[in-house]
Order: sequence, then structure tokens, then C-alpha cells
Amino acid sequence: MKTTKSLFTILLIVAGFTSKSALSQKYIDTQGAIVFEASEELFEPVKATNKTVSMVADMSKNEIAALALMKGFRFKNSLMEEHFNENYVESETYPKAIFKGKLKDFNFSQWQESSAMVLVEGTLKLHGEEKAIETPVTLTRDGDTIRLQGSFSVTPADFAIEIPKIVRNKIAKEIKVLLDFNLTKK
Amino acid sequence: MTKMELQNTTTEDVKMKKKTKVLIFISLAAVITAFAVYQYTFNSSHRDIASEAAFTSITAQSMHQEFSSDEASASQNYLDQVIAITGVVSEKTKESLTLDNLVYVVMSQPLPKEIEVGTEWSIKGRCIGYDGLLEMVKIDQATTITKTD
Repeated sequence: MKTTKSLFTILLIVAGFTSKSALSQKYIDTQGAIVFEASEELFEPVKATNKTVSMVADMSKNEIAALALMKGFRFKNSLMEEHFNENYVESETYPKAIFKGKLKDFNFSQWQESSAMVLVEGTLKLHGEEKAIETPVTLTRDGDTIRLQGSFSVTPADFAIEIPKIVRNKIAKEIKVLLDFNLTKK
Repeated sequence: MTKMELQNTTTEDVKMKKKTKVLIFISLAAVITAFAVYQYTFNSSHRDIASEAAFTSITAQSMHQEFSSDEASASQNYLDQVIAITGVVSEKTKESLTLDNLVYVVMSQPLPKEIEVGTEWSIKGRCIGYDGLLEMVKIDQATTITKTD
């Protein structure tokens, strides 16, 4: 009886340790940056930055998730910001953009180098529409932080966003999205 | 030229000059108004959250409670509004802080040194929504108002 009890205790301790180490593979950024650029030459730049994007990366499962609040996108031109929120992404109805994805063929526990190119596959949901995204990102390690950088392109049509004819030639067909996250171990 | 004629031409000249002056003045006014309207519609400055009065005052707990129980209606109430929020600082970085681990606040300026973890503060900022990943309400362009404990 005593032995089973002590065995049980040992098991519990082991289980506690493993769950703890699995937890420590979690990396979080609460203030990541997304820049999107849809500028056409000769016209006023159509560019916005969101510096309040959050990301959670579970390195033991190769899962990443990111969330951007649409109201957090800041434009240089206040009228453009207003149009973005009210007419294009309709941020009152669809307040956030969510990405959920996986790091492909990446083994974090065996990662030795200071930086790595990793393919990310996932789905971006915004304005009530979903779009599959596949893009390489660069991971750079610095102590307990991992920097994730990359970019991909989308179109307004991917998310059922209609651009009025009058401004159609002032907004690029392909919108470039730049990512920059500093993930810290949690 | 008689004395009479001379007088006539001068009054005529004066009249003409007056007309041109009025014309110049009107066109100038038109140009200025057009420019002002253009500036106002296309280049108006951003909202100055710091100088706006808070729409309401609330604790971090009740704000989070409202968002986590009914996000849609809370969004309708608070999204893009300037709100004063009170709570205990649970974490801080150079320019952000969390209140009671429930509200994430990004300041418009680097965080003042007096703000320490464990002390209660009231901040004012713009609500940009509920972050389901962090399970926190997010505030940006915040300025501190007062220490409340």
C-alpha cells in the first residue's frame, strides 16, 4: 500500500514536471506589429500600422495564433482611417482579424541555429471571410525571445471587401502585409 | 478738358478701382475657403484622445466582465470611446501596462516612473476591443489620470 502511494506521488511529480515543461514552450507577444501597404505610385500612400497585435505560439505543438483588433490600425490620414473602419473592414461589425496556423516541418526542441526559415500554413479570418495563407517566416532567437518576421499578400476581394470605383486606381490590387513579432517565453 | 470732365473721369476711375478690389477680395476669399474645406475633409488631424473627456468611468473588472459575457453589446457600448478605467497594475513594459490582468493598456507616451506594479491607477484611453487570445480588453493612446489608492 505504501509503495503504491509513493509510486503515485512520484507519478504525480513527474506529470507535474512534464506539464510544466510543455507549458514553458509557450511564447507570447502582446504588442506585435502588422503593417499593411496598398499604395499606388503617384497617389497618397495607403498604409496603416497596428502595434497592438497579440500572438501566442506553442512551440511544442508548432501552433501559432495571432489577433489584430481592426481599430488598432493607424493611418497617417485620419479620413483614410475612418473610411477603412466604416466602409471597408466594417470594424464595428467585424472588430478583429484572427490568424490560426502551424509551423511546418519545424522541430523547436532540436533547433540550434540562431535563425531559421519556417513555412507557416494557416487561415486568416477577417470581415467575416476566411482565406488560406501560406508564407515563409524568419525566426530569430535571442535568449528567451523569438523574433518572427515575414510578409504575405492578400487582395480586398479575398475578404469580400469592395473598393468603390472612384478610388479603385488609388488602392493597390495586391495588399502587402508585413509581420514583426517579439515572442517571449511564458 | 474742362474742369467738369476731369472730375467725372476721376470718380469713374475710383469706381473701377473699387470694383477690382471687391473682385480680388471675393476670389481670394473663395480660394481660402476652398483650401480650408479641402484641408478639413482630406487632411484633418486625428482625434486627440488625451484632450477628450472620458465618456464613462469603469473598473477593469466590470469592463472585462461586460466584454467576456456579451462581446457584441459591449463593443457597441465601448468601441472607439474614450473611457477612464481603474485597476491595480499587474504588469508593465516601457509603454504599456495591464490592469488586474484583465485590461491591456498601451500608453501614448512612455510609462511614467511612478507607476508601479501592485498600485492602483486610473487611466484614460480609447477602447479598441476585446482580445480573445490574451482574454483582455485592449485600450490604446492612453494617458494616466490619477493614482487611486
